[in-house]
Amino acid sequence: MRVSPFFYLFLAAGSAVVRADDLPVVEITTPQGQMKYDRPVIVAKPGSQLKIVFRNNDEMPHNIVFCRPAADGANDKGMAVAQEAWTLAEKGMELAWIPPNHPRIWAHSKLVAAHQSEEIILKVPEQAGVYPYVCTFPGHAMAMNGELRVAEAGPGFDDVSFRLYLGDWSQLPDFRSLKPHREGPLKEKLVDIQLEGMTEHFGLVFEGTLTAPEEGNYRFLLSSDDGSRLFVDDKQVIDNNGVHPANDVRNEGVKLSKGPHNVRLEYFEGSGQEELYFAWAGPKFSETALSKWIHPSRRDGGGDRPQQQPPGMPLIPKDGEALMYRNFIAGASSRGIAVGYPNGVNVVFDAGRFSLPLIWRGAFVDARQHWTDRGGGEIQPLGFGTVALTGDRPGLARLKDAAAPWPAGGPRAEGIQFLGYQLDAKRFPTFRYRMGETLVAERIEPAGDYKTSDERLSRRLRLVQAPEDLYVRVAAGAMKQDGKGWILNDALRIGIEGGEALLRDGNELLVRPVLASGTGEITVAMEWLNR
Amino acid sequence: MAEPLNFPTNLIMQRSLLSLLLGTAAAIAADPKESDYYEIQAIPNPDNFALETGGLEVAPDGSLYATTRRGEVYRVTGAEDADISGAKVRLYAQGLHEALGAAWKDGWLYVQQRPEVTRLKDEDGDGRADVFETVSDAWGLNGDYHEYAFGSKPDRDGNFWTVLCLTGSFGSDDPFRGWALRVTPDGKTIPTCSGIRSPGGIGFNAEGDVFYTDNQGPWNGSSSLKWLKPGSFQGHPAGNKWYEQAPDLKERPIEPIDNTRMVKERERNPLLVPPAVMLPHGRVGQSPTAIVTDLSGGKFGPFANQMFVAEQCYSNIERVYLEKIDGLYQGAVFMFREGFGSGLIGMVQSPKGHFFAGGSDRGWGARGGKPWCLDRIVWTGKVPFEMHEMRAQPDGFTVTFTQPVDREAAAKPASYTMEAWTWAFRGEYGGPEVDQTKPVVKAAEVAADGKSVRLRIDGLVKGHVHLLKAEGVRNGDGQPLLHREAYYTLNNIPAQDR
Repeated sequence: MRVSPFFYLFLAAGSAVVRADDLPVVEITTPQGQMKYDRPVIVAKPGSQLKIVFRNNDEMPHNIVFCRPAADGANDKGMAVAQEAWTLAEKGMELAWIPPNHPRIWAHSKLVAAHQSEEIILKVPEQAGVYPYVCTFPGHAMAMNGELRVAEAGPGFDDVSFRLYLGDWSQLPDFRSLKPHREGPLKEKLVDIQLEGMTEHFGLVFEGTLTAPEEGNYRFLLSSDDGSRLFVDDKQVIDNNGVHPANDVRNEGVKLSKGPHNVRLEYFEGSGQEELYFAWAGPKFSETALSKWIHPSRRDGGGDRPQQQPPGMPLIPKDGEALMYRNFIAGASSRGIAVGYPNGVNVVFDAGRFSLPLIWRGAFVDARQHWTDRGGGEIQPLGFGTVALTGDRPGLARLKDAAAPWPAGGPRAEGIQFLGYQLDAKRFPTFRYRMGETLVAERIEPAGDYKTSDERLSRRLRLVQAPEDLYVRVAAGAMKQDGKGWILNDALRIGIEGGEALLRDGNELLVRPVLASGTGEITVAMEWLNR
Repeated sequence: MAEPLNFPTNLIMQRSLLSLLLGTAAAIAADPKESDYYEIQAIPNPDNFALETGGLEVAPDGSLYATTRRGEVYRVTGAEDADISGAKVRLYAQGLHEALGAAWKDGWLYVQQRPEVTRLKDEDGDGRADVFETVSDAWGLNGDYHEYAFGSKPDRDGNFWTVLCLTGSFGSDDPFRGWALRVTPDGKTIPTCSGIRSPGGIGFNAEGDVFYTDNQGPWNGSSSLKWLKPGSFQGHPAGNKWYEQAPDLKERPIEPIDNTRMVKERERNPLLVPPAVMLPHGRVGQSPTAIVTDLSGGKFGPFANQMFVAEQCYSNIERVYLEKIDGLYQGAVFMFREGFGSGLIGMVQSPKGHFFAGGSDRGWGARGGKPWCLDRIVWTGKVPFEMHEMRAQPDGFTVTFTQPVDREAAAKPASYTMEAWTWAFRGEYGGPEVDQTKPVVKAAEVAADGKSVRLRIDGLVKGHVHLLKAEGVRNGDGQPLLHREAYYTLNNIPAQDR
C-alpha cells in the first residue's frame, strides 16, 4: 500500500478535520522498575498533531507532563515543574501531581496506575525548540524525563541524478565498470526506484548535492530491499549490501562542514519486493526524507523510536524473598554478589573487597548478557538511583592513627577471608568474613518500598574480637554534613550508629566502631534524597 | 541434490534394505544399535527450568543435585526410581556463579563455582539451601568469561580438586589460571599441577588417580584426557609464572620448545606428563568434559572400572580403557553412546549404577539442538558386542571383547586395519594430524576362549595415536561390533609381553 503524499500535506496544514484515528501514533512505555520512559526523544514538526499512547508497565503510578522550555531557555528536563508538583504534598495524589494552571505545562496525562494506559492527542507547538516531558510523581523526575524536539524538516537535494543499470545480482556490482541502461536528472529531487515500473533485476546509482545549513553532526538513514550503500563525499557511510527485506532502518552519524556535500547512493533489486528509504537529520532539523517512499516505521510522525533490544531476562525478587546474582557487575570486583530485595532495594556486596560498592533502586538485574551465548562482560544495575559507595578500596582496615592513608584499591583486599553467607526465611543473606582474629557478620535490612518511593536500607556490621584500630570505610565521594548526618554526592543520606564517624578530606567517610571487649555493631542507614 | 539409485552391493546395506522390507520381525537380526543396550531417559522438566547442567552429584538419600551455568542448584527426587516419569525437579539454591561441579561429603553439597568452592546445606529442612560456606577461594579471576573452574568429587584422601582455565587461550592473568589446585579437608589450598589450558571436567580412575580433560588449542593439537600427577606440568606454559606462589613445588618445568613433538619434549622436560589418551579432534568429539569411572561392579554393564568421558560439542559419551606402562598412563578411547539433546558437561554415576548426564549448548553450539538437557543413562541388561580392552604389547595389541568372537573372521589380519599419527606440540592454536603412518597387522591370534585376539603389528610408533578399525570382526551370531574403532595413544611400548 502506498500512502498518498497528499496525506502528509494535509497534516502539515494543520487541518481541523483530521480524525484522531488518522493521527501518527507515538507509544511511550515505562518499563518495570527502571524509572524511565522507554522513549527519551520524540521528534515532531511544528504545529502537527500526534497521538501519544502512554503505557505504564511499572508497579507504581506515573504521569507524563509536557512542558514548555524554562524561562531562561535552558533544558531543565522539566525539573522545575516537577519540584513545584511535589509542593502539592497531600493534595498531590488528588491533582495527579499536576500543579494547576502552571504556565509551563501545555499537555499532560492523568496519573496512570500500574499496568494501565492512557491516550493523549498532542497539538505540537508552532515554535521550534526542545520541550521536556517529565513524570511529576515525587522522586521520579531525575530519571524519568525526555524531550520532544519540535523542528522543521531539513533541506532536500539541491540536484539529484540517476543512472539505471540492468542485471541480476546478489550483491551490489561495481557500477563504475558497467554501462548504464539510462540516466538523467530526477525532477522531484527525491530518490525513486520506480522509474520505469521495473520490479526485478536492476540497479540504480543516485548522485546529488545536500547542503548542510551549518557545521555539525548529521545522521543519515537508509533502508532497502535489496541491497544499498551510501557514500558521502566519496566516503562510505552505510553498507546495507546483500539480499534482504527493508525491515531495519540503518542509521549512521557523520560530521559535516557547512555547505554542499556530494552524496552517492547505490542500490540493486534482485527479485521479489523492492523498496528504498533514504533520509537525513541535522542538528536543527528533524528526520527529513530524501526518498519518495516512506519507511513504515517513519509514518508515525514521531522520529526516534525506542531502541529495539533483544528480550531481556530480568530477575525479579518475588514472594517477599530476596534474590542473589553472582557474576561480573560493573563497579564491583569480580567477586561481587548482587542482592535484590523485594522492596526494590538492591546492593552489591563485594566478597573480594569486603565492601558495599553499589546500591540502587527499583529493578534488580537483567541476566541476559550473562545467560546467553558465552556470557562475557559486566552488567549494569537494571534499576535507577545507582550510588557508587566505596570504589575499589577494601571495606575495612586497621589504621595506625586516624590520619593514616586507607589501603590502596585492587581486585582483592589483602588479609581478609570470605567465609560465606547464611540465608534467613526471606532469603536475606548475612555475609561473614574474617580479618585476622576479627569476625564480621554483615547484613542489609531493607525498609520502605520503591512503589511508595520511600525505600531505604541499613547496613549492619557485627564485629567480634575486633581490635581498637579497626575502621570501616562506609562511603567515598563528595560528602557534606548536616544536622542529621552525611550526604553523599547530593544523592544519599547516610546516618551512622554504633561507631564514631570520621570524615576525611571531605570525601571519605570512615567509622570506628564502639567496642566492648572487642565486640561491637555498626549500623549505616542509607536513604536516597530527591524523592 | 540427487544421486543415482544403485542397487546396494555390500552386506550391511542389503541387510538394512531387508529389514526395511520385512520389518523388525525379520528373520535376519537387525544390526545392533546403541539404544538396544543403553537407554537415554530424559528427566521430566515440566516447569521448564533452565537445566544448563555443569555439575552432577547423587546424595546418600538418592537425590540428584544438578548445578548450572546460571548459578542455580536443582534437586531431583525420584531420579533413581525404575520409572523416571515420577522424578521431580526443584530449585535448591540460586545466586552462585557458573557452577561447574558438585560433590557430596559429610552432609554438605560442595559446589564448584567460578570464584570459589562453596559448601551448601539445608539447615531448616525446607528443601532449599540456607547455609553457604566458602571452602576455598585461593585463586584469581578478572572478569574474563573464559576463566572457568571445574571441581572434582573428593579424592581418596578427601581432597577436592579445582582445575582452572587460563584467561582466554594464551594467557594467565590471575593467580593459578592454568593450574589444578587441591583443597584439603582442613581447608588448605595446595597448587598441585601447572600447564593446563582449558579444562572441561575432572575425575578419577578406578585406582583413584586424578584425570582431567583439556580442549584443543595452544599446546594441545587435539583434546585429550590427562593425568594430574601431583607436581606435573601439562604442557601449556602460560601459567608457570605462578610457581613463585606455590612454595610446596620445589621443581618447576623448563619452557617447552615450540613446534616439536610431545614424545620428544617429554624427554627434555621431566615434569611434562603426556596426555594419557588423545581424544582425536573432529573424530570422537571437539570438547571433552566430565570424567566418570564405572565403579558399580557390573550394574552398568560389562565395563566395570572403565572410564567414561562426556563431550559438549558432539553431545556423546566416550569410553576409555586405561593402563599404565613404564610409569605413564595410556590407553584407548571408544565411542560409547551418542544422541544426547544438548552438549554434555556434567556427569555422575549413582549407587544403583545409572549414569546421569546433562549440559548446555550455549556459546559453542552442540549436536542435539536443545538449549539444555538432563538425562539418565540406563543399561538395558543386554551386553553389546564391543571391544572391551585394548592392551599394548611389544609387537602390537591384545584386544579383548565382551562376547566370544567368530574365530574365523577374527583370525584374519584383513579383518583389521590400522593407521597412526600424532599432532605437533606447539603454541599455535590446535593443528592438523601429522606424521601419518600405516602400521600393518601381520597376524591375529584368537585366544582359546574366543574373547581376545592378539594382533601382531609391524610399525608401531611410540607417541602416536593408533587407530584400530576392526571392521571384519563378528560375534557368534554374525553381528559386527557395535563400535568398530579404537584410538590407542601409545605413550610407551612395553618391553615385554603382558
